[in-house]
This record gives sequence, C-alpha cells and structure tokens, in this order.
Amino acid sequence: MEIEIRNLCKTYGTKLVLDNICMNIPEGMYGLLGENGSGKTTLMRILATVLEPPSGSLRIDGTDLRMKHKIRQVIGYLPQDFSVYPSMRVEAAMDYLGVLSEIPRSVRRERTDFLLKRLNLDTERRKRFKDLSGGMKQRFGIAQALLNDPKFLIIDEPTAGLDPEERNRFYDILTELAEHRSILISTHIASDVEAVCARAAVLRAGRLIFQGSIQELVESGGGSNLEESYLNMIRRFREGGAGR
Amino acid sequence: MFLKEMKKTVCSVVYLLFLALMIYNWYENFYGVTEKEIRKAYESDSSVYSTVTGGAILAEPDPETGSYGTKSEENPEKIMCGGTDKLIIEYLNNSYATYPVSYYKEVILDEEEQEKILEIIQEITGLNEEQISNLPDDYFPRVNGNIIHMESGAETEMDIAADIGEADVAAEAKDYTKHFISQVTYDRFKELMAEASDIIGPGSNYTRDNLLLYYGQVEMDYEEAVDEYHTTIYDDKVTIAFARLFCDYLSRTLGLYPVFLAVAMWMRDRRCRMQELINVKAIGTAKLIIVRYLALLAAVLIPVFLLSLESLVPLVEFSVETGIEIDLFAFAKYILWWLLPTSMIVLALGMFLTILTRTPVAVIVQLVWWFMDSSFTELSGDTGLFTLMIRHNLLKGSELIRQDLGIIWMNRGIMAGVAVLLVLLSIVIYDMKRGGKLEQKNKMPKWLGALAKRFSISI
Repeated sequence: MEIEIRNLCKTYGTKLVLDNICMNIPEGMYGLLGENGSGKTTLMRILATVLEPPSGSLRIDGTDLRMKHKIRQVIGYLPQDFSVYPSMRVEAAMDYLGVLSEIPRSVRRERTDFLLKRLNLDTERRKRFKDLSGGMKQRFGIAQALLNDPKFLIIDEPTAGLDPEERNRFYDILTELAEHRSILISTHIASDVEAVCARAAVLRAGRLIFQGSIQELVESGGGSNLEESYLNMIRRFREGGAGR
Repeated sequence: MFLKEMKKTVCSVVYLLFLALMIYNWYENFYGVTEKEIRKAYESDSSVYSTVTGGAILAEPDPETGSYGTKSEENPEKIMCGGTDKLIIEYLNNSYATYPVSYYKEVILDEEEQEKILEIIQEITGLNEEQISNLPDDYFPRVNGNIIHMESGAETEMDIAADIGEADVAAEAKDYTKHFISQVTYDRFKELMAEASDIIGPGSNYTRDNLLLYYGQVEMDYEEAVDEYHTTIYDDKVTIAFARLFCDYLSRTLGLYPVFLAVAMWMRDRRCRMQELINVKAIGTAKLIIVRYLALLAAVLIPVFLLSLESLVPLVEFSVETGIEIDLFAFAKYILWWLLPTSMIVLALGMFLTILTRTPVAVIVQLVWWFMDSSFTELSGDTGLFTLMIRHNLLKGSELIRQDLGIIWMNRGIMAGVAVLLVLLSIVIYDMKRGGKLEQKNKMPKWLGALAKRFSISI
C-alpha cells in the first residue's frame, strides 16, 4: 500500500492553501506536522474524499482518488472534529456506521466485537455516546474508522483534548494497528510524531518544507530532539528560508 | 439499513411531536364520525357531515319523514334573492365581509365605490336610494339562505298569506317595492355580482361559488335521498365515503408536518458533527438518499394506516350485521393515491432544500405553500393541477370526486413525479457536496450564510 501525491494544489477562493505538494506515504505510521492553518486538515480531507480532488494527481494503492466509491472502500477516516448521535449507544453506532460501510451483517458483528475489545470499549458498548469520556470518544473514532479493515487510515489531530496518559495509550493502540497498513496522522505536537512515526512531513503555509525519516528531520532542524528541530525549521521558514 | 433509518426517525422528539399533532388533528376532526353514522343507521343520531348534506349517510331514507336534508342546486330565484339581500345589508353598513386567504377581512368602500354598489342594487331591485334605505321589514323572506332577519315585522311567505288573505297575495307579491322581485335576468345578475366582487375585492360574498354555497341549497325529495343512499351503499361501498373524509383531514396534516421530519433528519447529521463520518463511508449516495427517503415515508404513512382502522373496523362489523357489502381495501387504496403523493412531495421538497442549503428554509417554504394551498382551495370539488392537498370535506358528494377524477389523477401524478425528480436532484446535490464539489465557504450566498449562522449550523 502506497499513497502517491503529485503536484497537488488547492485554493479556497483566491487563497492558496496547498501549494504543489508532492509526497509518498509508505506502509506504517506517517506523521504530518504543521502549525494551525498550515493546510494539514485540507490535505487529510482531500485524501479522505470529502474535499474535491484539485489539480494534481493522487493515487491510493494505484487507484485514482477520483474513483471515490472504490477509495472509500479501502480508507478509514477519523476527522479532527467528529461526534455521533448523542443518544445512540456505542454498539448501535458501530453497527450503523458498519451498515453505511456496506459490511455484511455477520462480519459487522464480528468486527464490532473485536474492535470494541481491542480498543478497551467492550464494557462501554451499552453506553450512550454522549456519556463517553474524551479518550473513549477518540478510541471509538478509531474503532469506527477500522470497521472496514482499511488499508489506509487517516487520522486528523487525534490527541487534541486528551490527557498525557490517554495520549500514550492511544498511540500504543495505533502502533499495534500499523502493521500491513498506512496510517497518516496529522498533528501540531512534534513529540507525538517522534513517539510513534518512522517518517514524517512538515507543512508550512500550504507548502511541504520537509519529508523524510524522523532522524533526518532532527538533523535537518539542527536541534537536539524532534520538537526543537521542528520549531527551528518553522522559525527558519518564517524568516524566509528555503526548504528541502 | 431501512429499519435502522426508520428507528432513528421514530425515536426522535420531532417524530413524537409529528405524531402527537397528527393524532390530535385526527381526533378533533374525524374520530367518532364512523361510529356515529353507524349508530344513526339504527337509531336517530348523525354526525355533522351527513346532517349538513341531508341526514345520516348509512340510514335508508324513510318516506314518512318528509325531510331529507338539502342539496346544492343553482336556483336563480333563491340566489338572486339571497345575494341582493346580503349586498343591501353590507352596503347600508358599508362593511363588506371578505375572505381573501380564508381569513376574515372587513372591507370599507369609499364614496365612489359605494356609489357603484348602489347602482348595482338599484338595477337589480328597481328601487331608488331612499327606498333601499327604508325597505319594508318583510321585503326579503325572514330566512334567506344564510341570512336570518330578526326584525319583529319580518315574516315568512306563509305568514304573509295568512295575514292578508289569498286574494291579495298575488297582487302584493307582484309589487317589487314591497317584496324582492329581481328586475334583471339571472345572467345580468351574475354580471352585476361579478362587478360587485371586483369592487369589494377577492373572497367577497358575491363570487359565483359563494352565492351557490350560501343561497343554492334546496331541499332533497325522497327519490333524490334514495339515490344518494344507493350511491353510498353501492357506488362507494360505504367505506369509500369514510375513506374520502378521512383522507381529507389527514391531507391537511400531511401537507405540512412531514417537512419537519425531513429537515430534522438531514440537519441532524450536521448538528451532531457526524456528516464526515457518514460521507467517507462506502455506501452509494443514491442508496443513502433513497433508503432514508423511504424510511421517512414509511414513518409518516404507517400511523395513517393504523388510524384508519378506527373507522374500518366498525364498518366491517356494520357490514357483517347488515349484510351490506363494503370495500375492505378502500382506506388502503385512498391513502395510497390520495395521501401518498402529498407525503412524497412534502418530504422530497424538505429533503432537497435541506441538502441544498443546509438550513431549515424548507420549513418556511412548505409553510407558505401549505397556507396558500389551504387558502385558495375550497373544501370540496376544487382540485387544480398543482393543488397540494385534495379536499373533500363531505361524506357524500362522490359525484364531485368523479367529475374531477381526471384532473385529480393528473395532479397526483404531477406531485409524485415532482417528488421523484426532487429525490433525484437531492442525490446529485448530496453526491457533489459529499465529495466537496459545492464547498459552502465559496458557494453559499451571503444571506443564506447568515441564515445558516442564525440556526447554529457549522458550514
């Protein structure tokens, strides 16, 4: 599974929000770093087929992103800001979203059981969604995104609002899930990427200013750790420097 | 998926409100009508619907009774007498009752317009202004259509005959200054009434329909009453008469309330921030829209079928007891051809506008349409090509339906066809939005953006 992005541009009106992005996302965990407003969410939403594929070429495992129905069968998406009908129970919500994913009934039940157990939501399955804690809601978000056993998982700012303990637990789960699939995580917290990703890209004002391994990112930024290097890199570009 | 969508709908507060309103309207207007009519077939009681138009619908006319109710008939003498009486009353008070959109509005005319009305009255009665202002108390009959003269001197035609003797009656009756005798032909009278209507404004008492309604009622004779009874028993097979009245009342409910369900369903995803979770799933847009639409339609019509049992069950018992054959499927058939198209168009319009604008604007549009349709459609026999709610507020009068059957079928076809078209358009629009083709940030007009903001919808 590889995601191939070539010459991707996106505008909102006259504002250029993604400027000629070229990148490859291989199997495993891939971090997308960037400040707020750098274009991370726009890129994620394009990949998740909820934004119009703009100019450029995007292929997921060789399939053009414009083949939306086909793409939607192989991706899982956890938006930054999501919820579920508040009074719907966890189990029912999983089942409903499974129906929308066109998963046969028996498979749906089996997978719901498996995912709820795997994401430590088994004891919460009869709870209404509105009664879940923030961490539980995020874990539910991952569970629903995995219902169709996607080859490519897109997760937008997954740890926003979680306390450090929940964040670590959440990343442990993601690391387990990264086998045999690509996971793209967008965040503005560099330490999150350092903890779980082998490779990463950095977006700044719609432009890709870095892509490579975590080690290369640390070296390129000239800091002692990823966070420092990332901040150095951002600062440098803010002052008008060039990217890799 | 159909059942899940239906469950989602029927478990919502909006649906419970819809159900409560529908049951309330049904209870207030139709509940008990059937039982009462059946009771009348055995006893001496009847509901208002049949009484108004000539006695109980299921009771065979009795030749001994002598009174068999009334029927509508264009009787020129009665219409001219009643219409002129009303016009003189309103002219003298310079206060004209009108119902431009079904609601009362008093019209006061200026001097010039009053002058024109006076000329009309003068031409019809042959009287001058002073005579018109000082008409004898018994100039018009005491009961004149919907007018009742309470003056002490007002007399019925029988009273007059008794007081002045048979010989003088004929002479006095010919004196147009003492009793109303039209000085114009009926055709000219109709022209003059049309002029009066133009001066007073829409919805006046002098439109052809209103003149017929208020002054065109005549007593039915025994043979006519028997014909009417046979129509109910053999042509309408009893149940059709009740199914029509049932559908008449329910159409008022289904012409408006389902829009709330459609709007609530399509705004709920967004309000609950679930839109993107749904949009990214593999389900096809056409399937999603059609299944949700059908689930709404079922949620709307199932209670209607259940409510019809309140009428159907007693009619089945009546049939068993009397041996009179009934059409068991009358309610089902009438609900499907009379109410289904109305429900379809209301739900489709609500769904389409909500998907298109992401605002509850469909509620306002439907309210306006419903109000206009209610205002401009008569209670019976007034179906146009684009009438939203077919009305037939009578148990009898099946001839009105039969004479309009062609236009009713066309109307129902148009409503169902437009509904299907709106569903198809909804699929196209939703699919575009789902893939981000109609990005709200760029495409939404400012006024719509403001409306959306007002209703707290994130764009």
